[in-house]
Amino acid sequence: MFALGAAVAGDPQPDQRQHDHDHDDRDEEGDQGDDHGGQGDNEGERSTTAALAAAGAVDDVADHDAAEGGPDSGGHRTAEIVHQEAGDQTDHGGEDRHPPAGGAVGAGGAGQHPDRDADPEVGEQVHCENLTNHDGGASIRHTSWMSEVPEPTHRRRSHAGTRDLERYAGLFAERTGVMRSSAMRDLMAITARPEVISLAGGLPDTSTFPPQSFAAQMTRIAQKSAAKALQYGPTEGFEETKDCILEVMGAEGMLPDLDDIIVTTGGQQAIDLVCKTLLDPGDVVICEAPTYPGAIPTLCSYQADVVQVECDEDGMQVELLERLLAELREEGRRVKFIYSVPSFQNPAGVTMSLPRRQQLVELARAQELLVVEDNPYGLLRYGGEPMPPLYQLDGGDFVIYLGTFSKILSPGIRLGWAVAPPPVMEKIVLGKQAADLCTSTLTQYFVREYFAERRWQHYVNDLVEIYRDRRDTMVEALRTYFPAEATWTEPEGGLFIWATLPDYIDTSDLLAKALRADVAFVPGQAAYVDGRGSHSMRLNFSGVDEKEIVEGVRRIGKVIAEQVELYGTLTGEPRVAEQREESVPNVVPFRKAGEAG
Amino acid sequence: MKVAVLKGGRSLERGVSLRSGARVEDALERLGHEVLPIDVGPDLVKRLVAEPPEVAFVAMHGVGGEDGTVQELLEILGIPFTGPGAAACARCMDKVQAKDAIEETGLSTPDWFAFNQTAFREFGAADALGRLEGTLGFPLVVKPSRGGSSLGVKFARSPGEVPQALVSAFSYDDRLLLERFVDGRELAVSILGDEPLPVVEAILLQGDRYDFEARYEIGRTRFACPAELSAEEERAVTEAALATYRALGCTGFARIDLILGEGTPWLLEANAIPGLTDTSLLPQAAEAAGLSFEQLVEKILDLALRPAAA
Repeated sequence: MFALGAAVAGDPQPDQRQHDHDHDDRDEEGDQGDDHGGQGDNEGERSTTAALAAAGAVDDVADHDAAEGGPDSGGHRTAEIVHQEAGDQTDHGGEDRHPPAGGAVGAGGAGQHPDRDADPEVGEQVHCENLTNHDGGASIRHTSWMSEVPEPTHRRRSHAGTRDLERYAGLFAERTGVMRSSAMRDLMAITARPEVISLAGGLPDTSTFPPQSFAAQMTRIAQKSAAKALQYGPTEGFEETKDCILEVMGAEGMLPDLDDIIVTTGGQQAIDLVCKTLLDPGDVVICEAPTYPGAIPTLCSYQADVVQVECDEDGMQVELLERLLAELREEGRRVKFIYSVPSFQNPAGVTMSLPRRQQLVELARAQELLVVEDNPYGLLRYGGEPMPPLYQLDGGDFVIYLGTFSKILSPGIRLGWAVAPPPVMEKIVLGKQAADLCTSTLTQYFVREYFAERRWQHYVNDLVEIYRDRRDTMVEALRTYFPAEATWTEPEGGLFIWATLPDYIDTSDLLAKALRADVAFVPGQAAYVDGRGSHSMRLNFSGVDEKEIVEGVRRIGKVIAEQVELYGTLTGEPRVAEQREESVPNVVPFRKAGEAG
Repeated sequence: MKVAVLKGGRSLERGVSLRSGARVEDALERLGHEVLPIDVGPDLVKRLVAEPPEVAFVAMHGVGGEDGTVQELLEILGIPFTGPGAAACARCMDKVQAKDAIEETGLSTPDWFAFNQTAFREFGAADALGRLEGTLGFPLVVKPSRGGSSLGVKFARSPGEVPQALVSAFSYDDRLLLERFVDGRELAVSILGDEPLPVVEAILLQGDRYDFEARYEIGRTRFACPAELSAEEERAVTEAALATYRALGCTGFARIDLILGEGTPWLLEANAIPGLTDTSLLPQAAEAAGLSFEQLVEKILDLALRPAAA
């Protein structure tokens, strides 16, 4: 706060920043251009995320990896920020970095006064005094203010020597010890090269979204609601956004109470907020094996003890879960929640059967356990019968539901949501306030405009058609190019296929060979906390076109075949990796319970 | 001075290289040089011809950038560059060649055997595995011949683990070596010009190996620099490193990795273009010698431009 105060004192016209607080008093048009601050608190993370996303390395995982604090991202940048705030009065970027909302926010209650919440500096006397005699001409003032600020000194990366970094390492919180960077992540740097076909991402194909529709919506926002769309919003999200969410959830047969919904910055933040609300270090969280790779860093950063329950082609094996719960209870360990992606699971592509769903919901009720249902792909179904979400079966008592617009509209708008019982929601809202005050109002306005066109379901249907073809193409390519020893899932929806290779092939190492052949996938280990999954890989079929899918799978098939053959010669049992005959069905995704692994 | 920073490229160590490169660019700018950053690709020669730099700072790691390929091109173009020349790079990059050269000078390097894939695929080399396992003992280390950052280095604790370790290591290179495991302290001696810098010791805080993750993650490994060595140990280690440096024909700089086991420095490999990231060992050693990163970069440039003066 000292540094912030210093920046304010050096600011000839501190009143500019007060517009945040009093926009209620203005009409919309007069309000424009005031908030030049905004929140620049995550620059380092954002740039890294962008780099990873560009690399197509990891879908939502990218958010996480970026936030992990690996040597090139959070850790280093954070250090730099500390540096600046402490010493640099002239750094006008300083005002962008609001400290976490403090006591004033708590007093205001969750989201009751978003504008007040929005700026913790509101309590400082100096601001209030200057606030009264302000009138128009924002742009002129900007100029004069800017002219008095000296040019920022050039400061980028690597100011710290190695020893300084070690000094920072001593300051790191204990939880950073479980936030891991990985060789895989570094290897993914190569996927940014244009010649590499990446089946590693989890990217929806946003090129299918009509640019003119995007332009029309943004224009409407600019014309009708520029000031509001550029302003802070309520922590829980706009009611209008929640109406859109109701439509999406309604399409899968759910009808939650509007007050039980919070709009989040992507589905990833919803996971983070649930963890923030429920987890103490050492608490047990149960996940599927394999589980969404992007959930693992989140769970680990809250120091959860993650235990994974095997999946088969019908999703998480609930009978194994039941046994595990009994064991944990006997050991006196506390299970906080069960995290599941029941439909078209990331990464395995499997869908939990109806009996399993019912069993899981009953189990949660009987043991008063929370289930966190993450359902980003539910509407992307390419075959089979729709399955009721856990939330619908349970009615929202013990199921916390997480949704996102990422896969049905755009991941770039970073809009997701959580639905939770009121007492849990109350805490989640406080957590959200501390994290980022509110979700982007601009993109919430975008969604509102987009849904008003009443065409969102048509777009989802278009995506379903496109992705179904891509899935079929990938399955066909796997049959053609993968050796007979490989197995894979054939998902009825979602974005991923999970392929499993003979146990002497480590897919993390295979990735190195695959990258030399200009193709990438996600090694299975990323979906486990305990090193398992090293013979499996996640393949994405939504992010690249059919031609690239075929070529990508062909390249991976070739490197696998070489390794299979090599292993044969090493063990004296020559195996020539034969390509399978097209008619041979091969859908044995997981070893069954009781089978030797 | 106009300095081209060559970084990135297609090697598996692209990510590390981009970090090294970014840090070097930053330092060069602060030193007042004009920086021409180049993510190395098919247009490299065109770009260097179109906008010829006075010197090229090679911040590439792994195949392509550290094995003499880029150096050869720079030699052809007549552009002075940092680090060892093409021939020395080629020798350092290939662990088999490097170990041969080390052994010829009478220095100790763990026993090893080298194989390429052809030996297994076409000549039944698998039948010789039992014999060499008997010679090397367990655990044994399997390493891709050309590779850095510990990528693809595997340990086999028993004969049953060897085939899988080989398959994994062959993912990184077509030739690999099987090496006797030597237990001891992990040391790195960086050499700048002809001067050895203080010895760095990598002490693992978590896990049992100094692997890729440990190398690049702050807080995973503690580095002691200068390493706590007796005067005798330090002399032995430094002399062995210098002798290796010379045997491989290195100029400019290089980093020699070795294990100090029961008083003997066991030389493992030489890195022609050691990492320059925040967690890399050469910058740490330089700092221990009183050189800031900027001074280190300036010195490396000087060595490239005036090799004789160094």
